[in-house]
Amino acid sequence: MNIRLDHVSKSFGNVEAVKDVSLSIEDGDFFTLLGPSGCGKTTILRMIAGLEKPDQGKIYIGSLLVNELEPKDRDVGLVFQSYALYPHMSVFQNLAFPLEARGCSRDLIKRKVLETAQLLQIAELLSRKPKQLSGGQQQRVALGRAIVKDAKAFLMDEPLSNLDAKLRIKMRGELKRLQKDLGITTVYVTHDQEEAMTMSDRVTILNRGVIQQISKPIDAYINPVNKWVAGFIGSPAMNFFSCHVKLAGETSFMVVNELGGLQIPYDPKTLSKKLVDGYPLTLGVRPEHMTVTDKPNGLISKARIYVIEPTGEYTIIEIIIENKVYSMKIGTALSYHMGEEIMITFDIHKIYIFDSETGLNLVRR
Amino acid sequence: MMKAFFDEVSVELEEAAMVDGYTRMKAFRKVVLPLVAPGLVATSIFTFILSWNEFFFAFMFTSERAKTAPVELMAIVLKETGVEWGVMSAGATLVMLPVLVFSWVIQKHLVKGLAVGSMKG
Repeated sequence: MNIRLDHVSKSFGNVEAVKDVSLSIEDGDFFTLLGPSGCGKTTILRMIAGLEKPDQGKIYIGSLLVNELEPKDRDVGLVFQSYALYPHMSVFQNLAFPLEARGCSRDLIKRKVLETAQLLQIAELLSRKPKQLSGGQQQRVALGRAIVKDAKAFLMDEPLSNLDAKLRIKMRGELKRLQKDLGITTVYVTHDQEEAMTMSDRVTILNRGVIQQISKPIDAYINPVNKWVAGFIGSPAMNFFSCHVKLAGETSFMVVNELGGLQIPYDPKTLSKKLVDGYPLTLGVRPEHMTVTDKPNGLISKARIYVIEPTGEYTIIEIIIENKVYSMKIGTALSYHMGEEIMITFDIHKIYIFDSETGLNLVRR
Repeated sequence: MMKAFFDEVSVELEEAAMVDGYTRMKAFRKVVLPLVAPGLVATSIFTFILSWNEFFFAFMFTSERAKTAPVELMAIVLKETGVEWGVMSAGATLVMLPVLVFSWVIQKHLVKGLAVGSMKG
């Protein structure tokens, strides 16, 4: 079943939670709504479920316009962040609840509940009450409640955020596998960009109710549409350096700021704007493209180590240049000390170029 | 008093029931009511005690035909010779009895912690 939103807007009092959002979700897609708290992603999900009504715009589930349709008639499964399991009912009854609402026969209910419980490996918990289950088990019951009714779509509101870190990572893979096996269109809300990257077929990145980018997750990483998306995707966040154009030639251009100047090779055809003298730019460098060196590049050179965070696999070093903090991601087994001064540089072939005023990414990779 | 108990039930439980296929009313009946049952019990005990012991309005309205127990008790106890303490104590004990019986019968339905464990965090 595909889902479509056409110019949907929603406000709560003075707050415009969702501003003119249009998106199209293909049948069988794992489609993620990603963004920081308050960006409108949960509101969009609730509007698809029917728990909120859009102020403007149309919502289609399949070819059906569902704006006026009650949640109970939309045939979608909703997994809440807090699970919302019925505490006075057993796991079996929780799973049976949506089927009872439809008036299914006792036998059919029993069969479907057992089937779903086995799929989620919770069959031995059927007689327990929610408060007797672990977080992970509760989460599976919440999932089961959506699966058991063969819904047209699954709507999930940060279902993994209440699990502990190791279980969260394990469940990511399991959820993705499950979704592919069942083939049911899934709309997934999260603020965790790593989750979005690893699980989604496509992702919509939202900020303050406005869609920033809709693309495959890897495209959001490689080709962020603007500075905000570039800083949101990728951890630690991208480093930004303000500067302006000094000279723009055929094969390279020069940028300067108070730290120095740098010649950057480029192909003018890949830029969406012509670079002129004085053009204010923001350069973006991902932490993994910054390195310690003995040959500084002219724009940044000396930095003081602020804090070192070794993870075992890699090391994050936060550095201070001119009272601003930046992040580097380098390999392990390197012995630096906090407070030490080091020389750094970055790979000029991997930088991003943003228009300082609009924030737009000027380069297409 | 019931409002506090209703507020305890997370609105997401109602919403889950609505998405599961029930109308607002049915969701209320099947999910919310069972969860505020302890609240209903507590409120009914409280209300019962209040109305059972109520004196002022009963005195005003039922002195003639349908005297309530507190009103009658006052009438037979207050004599010109003073308060009949013996009758008063016996009468008070008798009046308390129904409330005690009611509470004792109803108490096993006061199940605590029913809602704990359905919500994470």
